[in-house]
Amino acid sequence: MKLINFTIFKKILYDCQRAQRLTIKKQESKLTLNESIRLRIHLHYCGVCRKFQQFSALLNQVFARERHELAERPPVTLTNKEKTELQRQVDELTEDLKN
Amino acid sequence: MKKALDTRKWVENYGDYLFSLARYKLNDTEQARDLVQETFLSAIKAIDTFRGDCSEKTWLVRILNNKIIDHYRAGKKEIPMSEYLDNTEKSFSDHYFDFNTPGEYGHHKIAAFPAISHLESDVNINEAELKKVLDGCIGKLPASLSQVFLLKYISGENADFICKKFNITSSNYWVILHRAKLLLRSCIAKIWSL
Repeated sequence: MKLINFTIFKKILYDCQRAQRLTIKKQESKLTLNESIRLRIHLHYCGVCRKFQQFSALLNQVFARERHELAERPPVTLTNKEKTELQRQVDELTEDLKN
Repeated sequence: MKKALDTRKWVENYGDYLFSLARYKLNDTEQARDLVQETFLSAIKAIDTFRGDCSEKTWLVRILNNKIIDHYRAGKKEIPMSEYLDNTEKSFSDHYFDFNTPGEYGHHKIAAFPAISHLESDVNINEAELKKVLDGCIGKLPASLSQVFLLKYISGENADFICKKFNITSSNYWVILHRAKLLLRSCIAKIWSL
């Protein structure tokens, strides 16, 4: 009797697509216990997927900062004239709809 | 309870943010300006539908995002997202992973994962430079992927919202993010290897 099912073990070690999808899932939400174990084993042996994991985390950081920047310091702004005109349209339509 | 929205400060409070968001996504200043205007005016018309389950800002951003998505879709024959994923699954996966050689089970193809020494060495990454390269690479993503990618990473939308919006499962959603990141990685590797 075989103690270990080698096919399953090989799948865990070889299936990089699956490991990378799990990496994405892990960084955005939660893995099940089974997924978490598979991913951990895979990453232990696979340098390419460890690099991908780092890359993915780096992008998450860069975009989190980008999002923050866009909200705090919008890189492009409407001119005062455009704003006044736009707000005038907003006020006018709001009034119209009240009546 | 319904909250009454005060539209008198909308442009001052949200104008520049919405404009920047739209410009980032569309890469077109004129178009961005028009969509911001449309966003405010549609929002007023739909003001009774604001349920107060998100902030006023989030609500306006969602209206803008719908306009941007409509803009992408304009004139194109719409393929449902899940169908798009199914149709492209094999060719996409086969580019990066080996499913054809027996016993490979989706192992990475070495040529599809070149090292990126700029990013993977211990030296500090020049983030400004990375951002510049990334902006160009995002522009090259297939529209289906970039819509989802930007909703998640630039608008900060949550997974549930995105899945409902595109009528996809959460595993479709992980697949989209994975594909987008793989393509971005390839694009960056290509530019930095020149």
